[in-house]
Amino acid sequence: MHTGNKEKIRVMAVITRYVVVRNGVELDRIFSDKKEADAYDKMLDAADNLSALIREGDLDIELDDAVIDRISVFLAQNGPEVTRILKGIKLISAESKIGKDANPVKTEREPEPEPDKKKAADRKPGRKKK
Amino acid sequence: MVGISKKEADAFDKMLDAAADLAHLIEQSGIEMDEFDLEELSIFLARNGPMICRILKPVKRSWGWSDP
Repeated sequence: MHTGNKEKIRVMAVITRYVVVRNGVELDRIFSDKKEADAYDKMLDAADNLSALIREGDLDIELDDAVIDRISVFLAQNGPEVTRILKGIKLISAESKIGKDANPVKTEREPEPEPDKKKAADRKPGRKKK
Repeated sequence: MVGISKKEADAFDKMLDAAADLAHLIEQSGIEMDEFDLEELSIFLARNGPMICRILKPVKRSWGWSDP
């Protein structure tokens, strides 16, 4: 007989949800925890910085910006793994002779007709000897 | 290739190893790119390892892989 009364009971809950807004665009991802939302935002910041670095690198690659962005997000999403791989790498590009040698890859490569396959094989033993 | 110390050669080797690991990781993303671009990019990232680590420092955990 009391079932009629029960139906009238309304339970109201206030749920706080966090969304990440970047460049004025609200991302699909919704977080229930502000910490999580902040962490996600930081990851996307890192991705932005990575793609800027890659673009500034002026690499001789045919990846458009959208692909570079996706790769950057992938790398940032796997940040700890990437850091583990790169840990212990010394900065050899700036100060060492090898670095200077390796930098003008573009100018070295251009006259070669089919550099793609040779390159990987060439590099390693070439640097190793002496 | 004159004047490269063993130390430098080892460092370079280490960098190339890291580049190979990175290439392997990036391949798992399923993002389509040609082999040459992947190698070029991986080597660039490995050469800039310290910088990349600095950028990724605020990222404390993995997020799996999803295109946002």
